[in-house]
Amino acid sequence: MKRILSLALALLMLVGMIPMASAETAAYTQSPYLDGKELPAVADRLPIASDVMVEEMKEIGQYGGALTLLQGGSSKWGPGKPTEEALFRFNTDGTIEPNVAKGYDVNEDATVYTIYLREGMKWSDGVPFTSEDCRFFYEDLLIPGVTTKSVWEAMYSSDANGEDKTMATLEIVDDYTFKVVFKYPKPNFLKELAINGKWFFAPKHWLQDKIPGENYLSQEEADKLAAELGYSDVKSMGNSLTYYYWIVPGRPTLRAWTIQGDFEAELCTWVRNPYYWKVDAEGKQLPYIDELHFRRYSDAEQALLWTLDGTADISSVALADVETILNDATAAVELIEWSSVDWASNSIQLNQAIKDEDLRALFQNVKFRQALSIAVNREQIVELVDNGYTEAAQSAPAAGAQGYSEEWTKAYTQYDVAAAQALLEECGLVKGDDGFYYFANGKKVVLNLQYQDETHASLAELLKNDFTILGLETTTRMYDRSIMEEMRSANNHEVVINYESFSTVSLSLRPDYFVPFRDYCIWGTAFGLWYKNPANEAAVEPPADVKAMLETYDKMMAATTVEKRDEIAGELLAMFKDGLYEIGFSSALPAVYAIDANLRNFPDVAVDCDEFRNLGIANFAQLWLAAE
Amino acid sequence: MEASATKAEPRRNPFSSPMARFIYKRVLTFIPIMLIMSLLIFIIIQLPPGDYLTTYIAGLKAEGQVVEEAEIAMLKEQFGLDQPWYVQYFKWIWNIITDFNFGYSFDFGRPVWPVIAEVLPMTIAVSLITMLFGYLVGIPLGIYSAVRQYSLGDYVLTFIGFLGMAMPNFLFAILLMYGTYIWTGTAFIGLYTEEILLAVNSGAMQWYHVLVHPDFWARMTIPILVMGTDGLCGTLRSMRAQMLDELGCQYVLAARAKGVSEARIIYKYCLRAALNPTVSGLSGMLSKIFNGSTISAIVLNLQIMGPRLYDALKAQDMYLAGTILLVMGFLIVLGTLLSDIVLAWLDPRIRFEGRSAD
Repeated sequence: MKRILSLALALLMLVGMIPMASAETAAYTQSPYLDGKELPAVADRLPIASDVMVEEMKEIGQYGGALTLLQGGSSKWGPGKPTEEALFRFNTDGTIEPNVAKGYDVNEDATVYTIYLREGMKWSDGVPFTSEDCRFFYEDLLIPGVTTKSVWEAMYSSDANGEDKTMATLEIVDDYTFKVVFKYPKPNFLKELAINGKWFFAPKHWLQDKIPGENYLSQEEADKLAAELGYSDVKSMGNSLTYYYWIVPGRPTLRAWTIQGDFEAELCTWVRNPYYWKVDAEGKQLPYIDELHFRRYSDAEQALLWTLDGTADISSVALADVETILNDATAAVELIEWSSVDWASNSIQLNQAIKDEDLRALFQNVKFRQALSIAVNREQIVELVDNGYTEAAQSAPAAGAQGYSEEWTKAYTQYDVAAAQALLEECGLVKGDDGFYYFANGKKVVLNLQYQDETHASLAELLKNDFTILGLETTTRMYDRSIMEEMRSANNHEVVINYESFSTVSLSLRPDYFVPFRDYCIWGTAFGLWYKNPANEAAVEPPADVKAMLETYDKMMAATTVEKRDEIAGELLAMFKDGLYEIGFSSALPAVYAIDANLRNFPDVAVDCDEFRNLGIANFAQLWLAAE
Repeated sequence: MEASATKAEPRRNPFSSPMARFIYKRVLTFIPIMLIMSLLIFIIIQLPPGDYLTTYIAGLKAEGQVVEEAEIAMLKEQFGLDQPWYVQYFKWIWNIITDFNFGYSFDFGRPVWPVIAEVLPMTIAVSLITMLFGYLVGIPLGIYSAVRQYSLGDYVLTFIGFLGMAMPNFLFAILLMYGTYIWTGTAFIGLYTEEILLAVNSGAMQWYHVLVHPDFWARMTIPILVMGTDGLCGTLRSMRAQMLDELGCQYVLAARAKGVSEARIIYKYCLRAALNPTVSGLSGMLSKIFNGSTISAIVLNLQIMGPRLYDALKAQDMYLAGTILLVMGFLIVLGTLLSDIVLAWLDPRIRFEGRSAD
């Protein structure tokens, strides 16, 4: 294991050496945007020559211009993800590479990670970035709760039984080296860090007189500062300055652009960071684009019009609008499809821990779920809901992902009402004189279909129709998102349509939507409560198959090697294949982006998912606009 | 009428004294009205299940964030949502009375006032411009329609009037926005061009500079057409009906017999009486100016008070929503008082009837 890793590291450094050498000899250049701004010379703003990051890209670009992106609502991640700089980042193929970090080293049993930083790298205000900024973030912000976020799962390791969960400690070696030390092996640490850790540093020089803590502000001083800065309390201030920091003007960051002015403004401008630490192969300091503009819209039609009239340079396109854009000859945009990691585009999940005892027993019966699955006319859904863009399919991993099989995507998709009715009878249901099914105790079976977004109304009606034909009384109802959330936490949800459906880049890295190890996944929130604490009054004891799944999950989390972990993830996947915990109707839809026809270096092939930071995988620093 | 005027003679100031007392009494009633209103507002905002936190957490989850139970409990405490609603209410009211502090907007993470103040100038500007358009065009057209009843012009105006009232504003707005894209190649979305917004961001332009910018006025045509025509058509129809009523009165016949000029009859006598319902409508006007429109503003991407209130209500951002509603309520109460005063001034009958009952 160690040999493989050190070999990989050696190779990595070797690959790194080639552009490094050329960059060393080449003189660094900067964007004309920065000329005359009384800054130190560009070479002094970059890390030392051996440590500067040379971004590899399709074609070397030209400086200049502004990119306009659209922002609906008040999601801080809108500008957050495309500008994010993580310690380690994902490549489009799902591997990770050092980004803010220069490299890493790991010991044989994956308990000690040595992380190397880039010497001479600076924050956007020109102050050096060192390992102390990483220690400061972890020990003085994350652990004491200044960020108001719990310590990331990536920082915990546990023994082979999944017990004795222990937090990692940091050891600072020098200004540019630190070690993350785990008590137990943590083979996936870097990937997990890239997913839920993202950044692992904060500008101590800027924050040390703004946060509460033993060596920092007293509670009164912090209260006073919070009031001065216009925050309701110290916690909100901490959360804003250390977690959602990228929308705080003047806050030093490592990002290619920094925000200027109000995030809520109709047009929010971000300007290039003069201390950005990446260059292209010719020694041009990145990014190519001088400014980012985020335009705020309040209605989806506006986003579409801005895409058509060329205001937006990169925008996400709803499938229903693809044709409108293609039919508009004047629209100078190119449509790009990124694949999705969703298991289906349309699906339902049954709350197997539902309060009603009869329904609970029924929903836990896999035969009932199989009956529902084959009672649905998927062709209709493909045509009417997805405009023919998808295929009839079961909820299953996408082609190329772990666990994929043709057989799985076709499992229980054969439309057969008679067979479905036979399955219902096997479940002990009895058909009444009115043609509807009843429990053996004479109670009528009623399926309440619940959904959150009006776009799912047509799917709900189609399903209602199919289930009624099957002989099950069905209702449909739309709920506001917050009410849906309330229902979920109170365990009042029943049959839920397209809500937090199965989606993950890898089950072993992010099983949150799948396995009920906390009250999170829709099909068994109350099982999650049981897993955490069986004595909890709201908890529901899971059936045998779910208990087995939770045990397998524990084993997976405690696996000491990546191979072992993937192997156990395979076992988990098999359980999902047999269990139909989510009933899917049509294959996943791609994510469609409309980009300016002059935009270069935007990846044609990528996976659009949160783990890869959605648009962020395009590495915005390397994007550039060709002259028209 | 004259008799009642003489009866009041002993009072030192026969007109202003009851008026002053009337105003004084009305202003005093503001206090209980505002308190009851604030309580009702608070209760109604709390009525839907869940609170801001459920919306907030739903938002985080929609972005793929994992939210732990411990974090939820912490947030609940931080927002003060772990306390019963009446405690939250009294804290809110107490801070307003003692400190003039309207609380914090959860969504914006800032005190409520700046959040309201930043959209206030544009809200007032848009409301006033569209409203003025409605009145300045609607009243003359209404008079014309009444004076030339059953003429071709009247039929055309009647047709437009009904169409304007019947057509949903948001639909008209979408059509106009799409139209600008087809005709000019640039969709007129919102009130500002990118150039204006960048100038505002860099501090080169203030909002009052924006108001005199030609591009702003080019874009303003859509809200004027969408929101202005709505008011215009209503005003036109009610003006026409009122004028027709007045023109049929006997005093008009008498005035004509005495040889009073037609213009004098219409503008001096009939118009003054016909304006009554329009003036009564002023009571809601202050509040409308403060809030602006909501649905049309969302469709047109106008960042004004209406959409802000709508978002705050949807997110159960209760102090922001509560404050906006409270201000609107106050303005309605104030507007009613003002419109009563103007009516009394405009129409002596109201003035003297009030007196004789006194």
